[in-house]
Amino acid sequence: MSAAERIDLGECYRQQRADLVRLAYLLSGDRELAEDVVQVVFADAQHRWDAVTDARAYLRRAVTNRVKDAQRRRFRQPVPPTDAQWTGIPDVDETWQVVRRLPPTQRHVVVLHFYEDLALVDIAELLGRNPTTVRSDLHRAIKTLKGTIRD
Amino acid sequence: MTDIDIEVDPALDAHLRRTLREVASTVPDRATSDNVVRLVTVPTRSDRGRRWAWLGAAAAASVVAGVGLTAVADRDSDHTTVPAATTAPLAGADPDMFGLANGCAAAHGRNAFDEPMNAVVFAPTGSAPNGIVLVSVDDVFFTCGVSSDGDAMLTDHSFVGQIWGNPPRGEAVQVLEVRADTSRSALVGPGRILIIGRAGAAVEGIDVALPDGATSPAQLVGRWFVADAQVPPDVPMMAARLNWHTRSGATSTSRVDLLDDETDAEACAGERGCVDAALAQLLNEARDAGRSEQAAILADGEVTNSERVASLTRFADCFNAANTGATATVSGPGGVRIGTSNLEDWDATERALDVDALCGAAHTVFVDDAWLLLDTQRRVAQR
Repeated sequence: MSAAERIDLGECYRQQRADLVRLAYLLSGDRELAEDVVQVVFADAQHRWDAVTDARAYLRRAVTNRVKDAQRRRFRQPVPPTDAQWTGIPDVDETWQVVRRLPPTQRHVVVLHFYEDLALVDIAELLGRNPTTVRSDLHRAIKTLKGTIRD
Repeated sequence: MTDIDIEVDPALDAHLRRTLREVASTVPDRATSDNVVRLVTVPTRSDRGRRWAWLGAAAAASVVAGVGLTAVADRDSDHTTVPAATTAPLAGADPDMFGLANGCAAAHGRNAFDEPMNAVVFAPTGSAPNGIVLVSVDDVFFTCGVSSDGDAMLTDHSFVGQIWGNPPRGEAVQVLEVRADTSRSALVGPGRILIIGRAGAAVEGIDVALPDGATSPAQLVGRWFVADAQVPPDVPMMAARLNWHTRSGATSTSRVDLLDDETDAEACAGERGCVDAALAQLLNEARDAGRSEQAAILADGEVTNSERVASLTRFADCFNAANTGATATVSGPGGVRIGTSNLEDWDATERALDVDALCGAAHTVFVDDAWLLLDTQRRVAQR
């Protein structure tokens, strides 16, 4: 992408911030963490923006990595309460509760695959993990979801 | 599908996609594109080369930040001198938040260069030269004036404040600092109140309400908010309120208290500011005596001292009648002291007491106040 085609960071912030917060929320299950992560990602992006050729991919990767880092630091903290109604749609809330309780590595793969619509090979590249491990994570997550979601 | 992808039952596939879409749609966008608070994190290190890199980062931050403000660092002979290099204007630097942060930190006597620091500059949109911005350096907040030529400078009148009572419960609401600048006194306008904080995800809006009925909505970016209220002449600044509007439609209100660092208890006799001086005195006494187990509870700010004492007496009577194991003693218009065996016990006392239910009728006195004050005491003790 040429410099002329490159999206302005401010414009990118306005266009993509909300989507990225949503992605961070799905990855983390924590809205406040999600907002913090995205703020930091944009702050960090400022001094390397000129080198960014694919803004969406860069920001998605940065958000994912930030969420992973934050969750590592919060490893010992309990999962936030799960009795809330997120959407008011029973089957959706029930499924989200299961997704939210998946191990982080599995949840990340599920979100990136079904929400961001990434192929497993791209998820593996994004997460810096072996593709077969990612495949295995998705397989385990699907198995859990099948076993707990009502028909 | 690539060779490593797995086949997912179409119904489950569709259900998962719908679930994630629906859940994601519940996350609102709290940033408005044209009213973005300038919030720039400027990490610094002592290494000169890296510092310049961050200087560039701060300059680029203006892309996100929006409104221009070409502030550069000021030098204060009483404190740290900011190296001239950092005051040099940068190509495209608008604003030079780095310079502003460092200038402000230096003006307040913190050496911004010898030690790593994290600075955050908060300037509500529309803040013009001669305006006031808030600068946080390593979680210590300063107000900083910005002169007409863009220099950061110390503000003449700066009042550290607190928020008392009733932020929405169950939300991660945290008000970090309240500062006001006024040309007359801490008590009445004309002046300005800036409140900075972090609000929980359930908080949809925040505004500052003044006694004259005017409200100033806070600007929200992510979890941060900056409320900026211009106080007209003769309007009591002490009577400002901070309203929290949650997504559920509920609104709760906190009181904004301004503490003048320079206030002397005797000099302000008869004025409402004495209450704050009395509070400061209580804190100092507690610190000096090592009585960290004591908590003070403030009464509402819209009453006279005699009304306040009467109210606090009613509250203390109510508290003592509850047989919590702690003893409340009115120590003047500034508040009530509650003796507990140690700070940890206070949490148990608070839980057991449920003052809102038990003593709420006595007067608008909140246990939250005491809890906040305990935090204040801890901070005082740490200095």
